[in-house]
Amino acid sequence: MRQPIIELKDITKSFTKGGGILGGSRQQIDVLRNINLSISPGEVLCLVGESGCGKTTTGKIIAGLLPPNLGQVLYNGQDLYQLGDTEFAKYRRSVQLIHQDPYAALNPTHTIYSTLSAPMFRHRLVRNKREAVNRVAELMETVDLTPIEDFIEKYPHQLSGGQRQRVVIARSLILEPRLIVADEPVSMLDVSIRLSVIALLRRLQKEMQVAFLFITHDLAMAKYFGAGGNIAVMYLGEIVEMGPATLVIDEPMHPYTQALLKAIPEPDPQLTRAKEPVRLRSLDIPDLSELPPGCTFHPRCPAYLGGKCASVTPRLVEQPDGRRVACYLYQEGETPLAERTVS
Amino acid sequence: MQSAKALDKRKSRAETLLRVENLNVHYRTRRGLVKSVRNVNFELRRRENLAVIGESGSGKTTLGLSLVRLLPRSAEFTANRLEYTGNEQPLDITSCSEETIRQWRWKEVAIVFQAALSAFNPVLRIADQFSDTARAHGIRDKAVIESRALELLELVQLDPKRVLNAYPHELSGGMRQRVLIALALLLEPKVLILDEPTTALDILTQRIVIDLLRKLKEELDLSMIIISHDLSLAAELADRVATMYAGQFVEFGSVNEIFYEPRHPYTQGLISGVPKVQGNMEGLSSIPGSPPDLIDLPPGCKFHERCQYATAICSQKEPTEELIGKNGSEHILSCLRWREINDAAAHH
Ligand SMILES: Nc1ncnc2c1ncn2[C@@H]1O[C@H](COP(=O)(O)OP(=O)(O)O)[C@@H](O)[C@H]1O
Ligand SMILES: Nc1ncnc2c1ncn2[C@@H]1O[C@H](COP(=O)(O)OP(=O)(O)O)[C@@H](O)[C@H]1O
Ligand code: SF4
Ligand SMILES: [Mg+2]
Ligand SMILES: [Mg+2]
Repeated sequence: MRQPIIELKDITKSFTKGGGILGGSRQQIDVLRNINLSISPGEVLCLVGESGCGKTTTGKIIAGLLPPNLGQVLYNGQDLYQLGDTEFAKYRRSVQLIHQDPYAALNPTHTIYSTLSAPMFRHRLVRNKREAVNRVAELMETVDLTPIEDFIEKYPHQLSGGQRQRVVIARSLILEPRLIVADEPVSMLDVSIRLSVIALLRRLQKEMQVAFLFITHDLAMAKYFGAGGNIAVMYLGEIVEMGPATLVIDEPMHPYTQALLKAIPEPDPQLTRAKEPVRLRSLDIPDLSELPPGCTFHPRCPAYLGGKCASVTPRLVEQPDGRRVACYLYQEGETPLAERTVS
Repeated sequence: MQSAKALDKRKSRAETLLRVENLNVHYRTRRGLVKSVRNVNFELRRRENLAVIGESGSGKTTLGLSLVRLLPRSAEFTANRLEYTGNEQPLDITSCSEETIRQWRWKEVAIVFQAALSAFNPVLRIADQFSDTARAHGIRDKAVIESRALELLELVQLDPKRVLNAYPHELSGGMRQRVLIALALLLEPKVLILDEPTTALDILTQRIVIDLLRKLKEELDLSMIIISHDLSLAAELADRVATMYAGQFVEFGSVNEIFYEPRHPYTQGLISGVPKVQGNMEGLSSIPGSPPDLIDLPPGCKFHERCQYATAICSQKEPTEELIGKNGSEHILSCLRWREINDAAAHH
């Protein structure tokens, strides 16, 4: 097995809430609990789940922007927070982040040329303007910002959202990263151009063999981008199902994944109107500060078994087809069969 | 919540509720006139859901606001006809007095905005949002207002005990959206205009809102205008769909015509740019470029700069609405070359 670029081992991340000027008692909220995952060179991992479930926090931990409270982040098998300065600098170069907001990500006073050439000079990848122009042009070609001469001297406000995101993508490629964390990279773009930006990322992933953590709340985009890769489904700070993307989306096992896929509206009238109804036991998502005991999905789960579901957190258990699921429905021997009252 | 008989009495027998002919809305700005809605024509029928789809900036919200005359002062709006025909006496929305419009809005046609916090008065509890709205329309009996609010919150599957005393910021996006829908129903309107009702909501919450809208339409005999950039919402709920581009309806037809036989290159592009979760991921492609500047519109077809089928004529001549449906179909299209495009596709 190849050495993963990044591994998360039993990561817990907490934030404190209250106790500030607004008063209220201070409370520690575990927004991520026991996260384990790994990303190998050239591999795609899609991270999906509803807003607030911890996707961005996971991405930031992987990109080294947030330290975890518990657990380890391994980079090439070594603890990220034990690395020497040179090694840490190398890690920083090889893991790049693309945010969802291409408007905030670019300095409004810099042209595309200066945005892209500055890091090249800083990291001594080019020696003079001529080399920089060539390198910038090459990158612009890679992200389809052509004709070059029409764009190279443009400022962010002269570009559409899609063009800006292409500049951000080009910038993330300068240091030849091994892993790109793309956090909802198209959610702020117009529907008509989302797919073209995703297609670009997919092409880069294939051509450059760069690994991706692709964060999205859009399951269709995850299926499209994640084909051939893996997907992890998060709910309230935990991974509930993880495995090959196509398998998980086409044949979901966890009741939460199943509910998402049943619920998702599709852009096809006959298909979407023929969907089976979702029967959640309760409509609204619990607050992270009042997490239900046991499986955190149990108050809403249509397959609720009683017993352990409401008292003991299920572990992610490997299934015969290789994926992992955290649900007592699939843990023979973990729940007494007598307690199974699936309707 | 209401007997069928009461409903029958309340609803007029009119089959058409809104008639819109050559509606135009321009915003005055320092850079010039923003032509946000141009020559829009349609009628809304009783018990019909009409969806307006298109990317952001195409004029959808402006259209919705103009139908209930909630446009900002900077807007100029003209129409050959903009009429509400849900009552025996038609109401001319363009020319009637502000007071008439104020009484009519909410009572006959209510608009539901995207459930951002800004859609609420932040310092009022939900219960007060109900009583304020009711009082503004002359309902003063506290007990009546309270029981009505309770009934409506239950109808939208919210727990009144939890919600009535809450401030807007204490509710989740999905709960706020349902509160807004309940509020809109307070005066039993015949038409709901919903602007991006599921945008920014999570999947499970979107499903709750969609199922709720479907139920309301059936139980309350409502007509809806559903405005969204999300094609899935139209696929779920619409009877007829209009595709809006640069302020115009470029295609208009039944939901099946728009999704399964789209004829306008823009509609075709929109549909093939959105992957489905079920099914394979083949045949996907997206539209190049971005929409034109509404201050400085290109000549000819406003889509020609992005259209893969455009020829010289497309940048010279402006297409007009053409009825292309046969056998009673009302499929309408604005494209100069649709016949050739269609024939070429048929030969492949
Ligand atoms: N800096 C922070 N301080 C306090 N709470 C935070 C902070 N960042 C995120 N959170 C909380 O952590 C949870 C997970 O957030 P996030 O990772 O952004 O979720 P997602 O990206 O899936 O929407 C949310 O409840 C959010 O409010
Ligand atoms: N108050 C306003 N003043 C000036 N321009 C406006 C105003 N509101 C909207 N616009 C412009 O009108 C066009 C259509 O906007 P809008 O109706 O919000 O479209 P959509 O809802 O389809 O995104 C856009 O170009 C927008 O910038
Ligand atoms: S009129 Fe021409 S440019 Fe416009 S949609 Fe038709 S083919 Fe394309
Ligand atoms: Mg996020
Ligand atoms: Mg809008």
